[in-house]
Amino acid sequence: MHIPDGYLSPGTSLVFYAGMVPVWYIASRMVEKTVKVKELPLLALGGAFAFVIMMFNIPVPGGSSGHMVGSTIVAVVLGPWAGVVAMSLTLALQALLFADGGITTFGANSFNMAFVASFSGYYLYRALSALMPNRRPLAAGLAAYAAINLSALAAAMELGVQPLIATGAGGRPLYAPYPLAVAIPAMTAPHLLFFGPVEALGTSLVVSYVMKEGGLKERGKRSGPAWAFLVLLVLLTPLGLLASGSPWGEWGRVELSRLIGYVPAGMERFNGWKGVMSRYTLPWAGGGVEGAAFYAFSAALGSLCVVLLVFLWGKLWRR
Amino acid sequence: MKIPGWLREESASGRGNEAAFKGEGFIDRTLGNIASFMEGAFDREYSPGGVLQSIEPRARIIGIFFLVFAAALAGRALTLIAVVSLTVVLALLSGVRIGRLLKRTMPALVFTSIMVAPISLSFFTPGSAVLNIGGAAVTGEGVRTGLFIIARVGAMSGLTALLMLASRQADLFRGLRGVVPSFFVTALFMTYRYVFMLMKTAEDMALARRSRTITGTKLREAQGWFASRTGLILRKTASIADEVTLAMVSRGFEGKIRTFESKGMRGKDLIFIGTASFALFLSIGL
Repeated sequence: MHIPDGYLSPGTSLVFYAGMVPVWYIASRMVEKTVKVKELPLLALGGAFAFVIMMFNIPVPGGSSGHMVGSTIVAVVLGPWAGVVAMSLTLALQALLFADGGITTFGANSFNMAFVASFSGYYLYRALSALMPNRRPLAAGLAAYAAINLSALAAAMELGVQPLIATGAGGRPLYAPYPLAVAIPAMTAPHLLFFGPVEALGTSLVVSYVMKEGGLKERGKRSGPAWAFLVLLVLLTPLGLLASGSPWGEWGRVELSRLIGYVPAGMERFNGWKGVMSRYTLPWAGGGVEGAAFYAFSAALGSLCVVLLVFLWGKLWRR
Repeated sequence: MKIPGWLREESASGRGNEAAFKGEGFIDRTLGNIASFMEGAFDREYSPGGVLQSIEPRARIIGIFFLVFAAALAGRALTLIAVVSLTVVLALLSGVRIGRLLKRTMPALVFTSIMVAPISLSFFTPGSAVLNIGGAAVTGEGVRTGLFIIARVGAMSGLTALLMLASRQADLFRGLRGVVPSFFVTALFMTYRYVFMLMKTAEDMALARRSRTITGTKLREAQGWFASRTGLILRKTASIADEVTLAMVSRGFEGKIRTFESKGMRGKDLIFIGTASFALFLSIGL
């Protein structure tokens, strides 16, 4: 389920990074409250455990075997917020050091396997274990099955929207090439039929063993419906990628004129900030070689600004 | 000494019994996963005199990230070819063998090739047929689309592989410390350290099981083994975490992460970032 580099457009990658930064921030703050920073080793070891558990192949009927992701177990043991951090650490290690997953897709992978899987797995486990308190391994297995499938569905949607939002000349797909109609069944069918049952079986077995042997306590507190609502909203966020045209209220003058038949006088007067070098060129620059030269010049100018910012940031960082 | 008859019988050894052998395949696959992890973890080519190695870790990470994003933004094959060429030049100047770089990039390339193969068919990409395979037409447009996606994945994973091969782990973590909050980097570093410890435990468990298995085992027993070993690792995880916490607290750790002051960037570090960001800005419109 690790999405490699090159499968998601930079826009999609940035959206998921932007979405995950506040989650990581809140998670680190929540971890300070629930796990305490002094227990940083538990977080790190939770990440290491998730890493190692992925190496274990679980025997399934028919002589085959598969490996699990472990998000639900980690979330149940550490709590959902700490689970998000631990799984994100695992994914970061896999992407950075072992080329499993990508750097640009790290935000999306964290959203799918750390955020969606941890939260859905944890809260489903809490809900199901409340309904069947004597069958916690079954509750954990069902929660893990649902969590891994929700995670796969999120990944499928991210991949499936690429042909809609990022195409080249002649509608040629530039990133993951298959539409939602292909990506969703291709991604969800193996998870519903094989990887989901493997995750459920593995989670159920581990919870059953831990309960029998005793020892580990579950962390985290019961949260009200507000969190469930927030999670639902976040899960629905990628639907916005399906929308075509400009977002509501962000119309340009031409588009507005087409929509309502005229351009309001205030907007007509205010042309808006066009930037120093609009469209990476200067107003008097022609096309061809001159245009290309100005384009390269604007890139050099941008680079210079980046270097200046990095230099200043480096100076401030040292203080 | 005479070998007993039951040991000479192929079916009794477990190897001849297909069902029993299959039942133990999960141990072999687990050991294979661990071996592959270890190989990847220690696969480094560090040449101190190389160009990339001489760049300050923060600048190295930022510069390579810029190039990765340049490949992500590229809309033309020419831009991707330029990024791949730059990667090869950087690898050569940094003393990283191209074969090693290819080996690292190969899994992503093979996976992507299989994944995008159907896009070359007229069913997904209509166009002029260049080949007919059993009634399905392969179109020129489809082949170009597929090759473009493979090239992008290759360019991006090649750059990441180059960063890994040309950097010591300590440098990577030191570089990350300047880019992301210390809390995460410290946790990431600790995760990395303990992955090896837990991985060694897992390997010992799997090897012990493999070396003691003559005949195959029943599915339920095999699943019980998985549950007990994973549960044991989970308990060991909690136990080590408690010990490490106590050790850290006894050495004065109060929850605040303190790090060494990082060195400032030098001229060549800024030039590297500038060049990489120049490539990034160029790729926006190309």
